[in-house]
Amino acid sequence: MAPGAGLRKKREEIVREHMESENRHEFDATLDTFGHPRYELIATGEVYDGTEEVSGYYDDTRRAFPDQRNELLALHHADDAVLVEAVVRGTHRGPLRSLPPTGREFELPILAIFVFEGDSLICERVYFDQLTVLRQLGIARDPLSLTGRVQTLVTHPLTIGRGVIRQVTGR
Amino acid sequence: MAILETQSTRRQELVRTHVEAENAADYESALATFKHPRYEYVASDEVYDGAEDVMAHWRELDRAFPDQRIEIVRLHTADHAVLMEALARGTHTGPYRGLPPTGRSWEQQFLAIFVFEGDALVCERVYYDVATILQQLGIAREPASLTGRLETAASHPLTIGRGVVRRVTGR
Repeated sequence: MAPGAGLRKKREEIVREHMESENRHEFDATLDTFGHPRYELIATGEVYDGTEEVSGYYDDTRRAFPDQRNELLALHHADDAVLVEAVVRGTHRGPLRSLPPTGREFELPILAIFVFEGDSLICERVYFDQLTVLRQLGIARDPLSLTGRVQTLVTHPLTIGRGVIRQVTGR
Repeated sequence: MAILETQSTRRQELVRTHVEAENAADYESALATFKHPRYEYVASDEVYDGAEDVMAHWRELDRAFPDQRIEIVRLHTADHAVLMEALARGTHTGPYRGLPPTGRSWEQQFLAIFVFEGDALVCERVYYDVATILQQLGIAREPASLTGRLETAASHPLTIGRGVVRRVTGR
């Protein structure tokens, strides 16, 4: 059943406040936009569930990218979700897990699914490309580019070597 | 304005037909589901526009991953689009651009936005993670893993070296 105008308006206000409070770095306010705080990052398989884990996740990203901000590009209302196309930008000024700060900037298109039960936000599920970020931080290359192909051959000689044999023998 | 249930149903049916045709490698039928054939890959910034480009794109994928299949996880119906969460699987048994066949299988969850004008499908915009596939093909490593960290340090010594200096000096 498609949501009516009133419910759409309420959900959209929650989503916009969620994203804008992140830009103001008021993460307590961001946390408050959830009925139940939960993130699912599809690319990495990470799940942060509950206030403690989600707060920890905000702390980690703020440490690595203190100027991180988002820009909403398009918003789609569905039955049980609001789906947002956005661009996230930031500068890598603090440690990201084991990776020391590179000082480089990234710009990443994402698709975020804000999952609702009625007017209560219960999950943000995010689709994005890790390679886009790693490439811009200068720690990965597109394997199909020339430098990427040379690097791939050097660092994965068995995989590529077997592939070449397979291609030649057709097996 | 909320769209009519009947139009929503027709659009979902068209998306299912599109996916089934791709799974059957029946590309003529898949092409016929578009009013205007067009793909946009957000991660790689690639666009395939028009019947010829789109057909060439499918043929390239079919050669590299002949068993590729898509399984729908969820469909979200919005005013101007159907947004599909899906699992894609394939085995890399043919050449892909400069990359010889690795013989490995990959699986990943992705999101596709099927953009509609009325009942007509005019674009499929895909959000996916390149890194997930490269890791499963054995030609990239998770940068946070031990072997990934060694590889990153070996292949990007300046970026990592500068990062370590920045962390130690706090600048």
